[in-house]
Amino acid sequence: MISYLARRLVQAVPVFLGVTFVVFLLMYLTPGDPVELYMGQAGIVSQEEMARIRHEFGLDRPFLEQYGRFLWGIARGDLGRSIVHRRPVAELIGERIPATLELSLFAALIALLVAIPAGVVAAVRRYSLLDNVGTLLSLVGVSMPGFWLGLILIIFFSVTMRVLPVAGRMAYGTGLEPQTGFLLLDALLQGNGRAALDVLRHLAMPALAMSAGMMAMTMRITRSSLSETIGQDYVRTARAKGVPEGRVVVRHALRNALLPVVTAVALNLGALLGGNMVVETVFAWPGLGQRVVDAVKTRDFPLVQGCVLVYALTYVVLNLAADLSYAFLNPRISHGKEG
Amino acid sequence: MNHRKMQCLAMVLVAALSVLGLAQEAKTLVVGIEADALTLDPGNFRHRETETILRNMFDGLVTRTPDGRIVPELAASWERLSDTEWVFYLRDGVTWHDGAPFTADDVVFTVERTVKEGRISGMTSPRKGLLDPVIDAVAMGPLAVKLITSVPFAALPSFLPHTLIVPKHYIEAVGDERFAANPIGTGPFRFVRWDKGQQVVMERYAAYYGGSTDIPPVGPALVDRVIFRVLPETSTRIAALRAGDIHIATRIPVDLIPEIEADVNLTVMSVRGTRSAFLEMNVNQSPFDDVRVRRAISYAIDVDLIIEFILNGLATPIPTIMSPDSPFYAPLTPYGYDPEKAKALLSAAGYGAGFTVTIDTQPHFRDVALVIAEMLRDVGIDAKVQEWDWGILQGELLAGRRMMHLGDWGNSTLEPNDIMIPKLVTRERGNFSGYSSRVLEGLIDLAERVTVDPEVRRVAYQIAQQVIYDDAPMAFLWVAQESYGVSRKVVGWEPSPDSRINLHDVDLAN
Repeated sequence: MISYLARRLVQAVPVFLGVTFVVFLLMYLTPGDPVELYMGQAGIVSQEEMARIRHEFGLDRPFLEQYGRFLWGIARGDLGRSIVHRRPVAELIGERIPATLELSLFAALIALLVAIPAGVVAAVRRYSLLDNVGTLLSLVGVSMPGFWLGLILIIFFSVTMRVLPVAGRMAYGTGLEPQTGFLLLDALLQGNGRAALDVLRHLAMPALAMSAGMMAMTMRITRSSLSETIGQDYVRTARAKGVPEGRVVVRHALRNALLPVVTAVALNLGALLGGNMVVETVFAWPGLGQRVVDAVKTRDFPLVQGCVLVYALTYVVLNLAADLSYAFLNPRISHGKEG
Repeated sequence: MNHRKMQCLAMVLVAALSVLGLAQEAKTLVVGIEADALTLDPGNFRHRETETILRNMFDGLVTRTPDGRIVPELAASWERLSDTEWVFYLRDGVTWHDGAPFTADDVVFTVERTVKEGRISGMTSPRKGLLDPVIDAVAMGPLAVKLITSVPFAALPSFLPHTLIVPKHYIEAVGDERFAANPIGTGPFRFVRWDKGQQVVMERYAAYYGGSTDIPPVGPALVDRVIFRVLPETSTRIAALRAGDIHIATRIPVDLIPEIEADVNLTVMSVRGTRSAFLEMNVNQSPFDDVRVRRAISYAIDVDLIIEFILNGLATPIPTIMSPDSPFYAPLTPYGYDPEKAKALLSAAGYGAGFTVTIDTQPHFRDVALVIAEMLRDVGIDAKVQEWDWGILQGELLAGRRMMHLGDWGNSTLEPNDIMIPKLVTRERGNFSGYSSRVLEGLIDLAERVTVDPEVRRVAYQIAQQVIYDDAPMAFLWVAQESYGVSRKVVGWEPSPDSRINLHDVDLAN
């Protein structure tokens, strides 16, 4: 098991190198000068001033030297300094990760809590009214743009009903002092129930908007995977042995049926963790998605590079976690032991 | 649980949620702004929203009134000692938010931090260019400071509102990084907290000296607390305004104004901005290397019609690149809509059969571009529209590879050099038409580097505008208004042409 983990981590190194090189090259080749863009479409800026800024950020050096400096920086744990924010990239990414994690995990939790039971019901009662309604709703969920769903939620819950705040992560005045950046955790650690409720009120709509797609897809996959498993011989055998139906479905069929679900959820979670730029923008959620889109628009090379590195890391970790969970779900799969 | 119990529980839950939402104290003014501050260090950014936020915690030597006049703020008065030396006499009794007195040393420190290299965490201030000919500052006693410029720079006071004064004693004690996260200023509000990406919170500074005597009322701010809440999406900003979460929403596009006006609790306030819009032509390639063709384009565009029907009347036509609010504005008569004259000029230039051209623009100008393309087709020019990502288009334009560009350029100082140099001087960074005129450049040089005589400068810029008008490297369009959604509870606020939101004089009605 440990040697398997070590092997996978070693394999990740060339993946990182490859990803950073390709992105570095793409950004280098993309038209658009970060310094010109930074100065905006207003006012006088001398050529000397722009040249000085390019020099300060090393943008006047040859491509390979820039890339080499970037790698050398990573080796020393330094991701460089953002051209637009003029602050360290690690800080700019670090302050956005908790918001994105908190929202994605909440969205995933909502999605799974609804989707897996719904998928099971749909599979067990195939072609029933429940199944048809579930299928219809999941189609709506998959096809509804997060942007639109978000605005509908805001108009209903905030403008009409006035029960939830329109946007943001917290109100001012609850006495919450962010420490870990995971605001719900902070509120609980500080024993501040009022702040915890406030954070949940802010989380509700964006998490729901973000979970819709994942919920619908997970439900579809659970349904189809379980339908298939339920028809297998070993399930029939279990039933023949007199195992109660609920136990047959949950213990025998569902556990095996979850393999494709786990893969899909891991990939989906990877996308969620990247930050959903659309939902983040609508709900003014200060996550990684907004940051990376802004960074690309302004050609803030160091910041884009840093974000890409974080994304690559997230996917490698999630894929590894999914692979490891297969062994748990299906005893026939094992890591590190000779078959 | 029976039905009744469920109902009760639901009501209690809703009540609890609502009370929590309303639990903020009175007199907190909330502004919904489209982007967060990049930093809270007034010396280390080039970003409109950052300046809007910081302006409420920091003051400058001078400021600008809502109608565009430059008036004293931290300075009580100023005088010019020579062509390159200015003395600013500072107000007495001004304190920093930590109680320390404000002195000439702070001004010297601020100027040197801005114009000298490597002064902010080892890097040079990106605002150096905003003070450019200023090379040094010298204290002449505790309440007087001399600014020295490398060339005569008559427009200095117009550029100074953008330089906010920072505390020498505090920055020297805590360093640049800590200052940027936890600043103190001399402004009407003191910093409380910055939840990055979400909000900047500030509270009234009770010992505020009162601000500019030219902008009444003078005294501490009227509201207790101000929150700038970051809401990047326009629809969300409007929803937050309608829900009562915020009191002022910035950047309301013309097509969403009716949604705000339909709400009895809200109003829309507009002010003429400082961005000049134009259709630039590549003067170095045919057909636009012929001035007759360029003038024909100006005659072919019905500017008034576009303003009326696309911009809902919220724009003012301009004859050249200067805004009518600039003291240097030359009141020339715009070319005007005359398609027959346009056709005649095209024929005379040998393009009677028309030609094909693409109007390059950014998505927010699409509607206008499509209408202009239609108008050009009416005079026989086959015009198409292409939308671009600005990062890519900017490079293409600077390389002279495009023919026609619809865009705009900001001129918040309203000084001619601030827009004529980048847009119309040879190889400058915003000169997308590739225009080059020795006459124009000579006139700008005369006004900015040779003389400080107001009358000579005025005349030089009048002639400069006539030159631009005749050469027509662009078809000049308008200066658009900028609109804000405002709660009717807000008292005493008016939008400012340079898009700053000064909340010192603003109050909230109950």
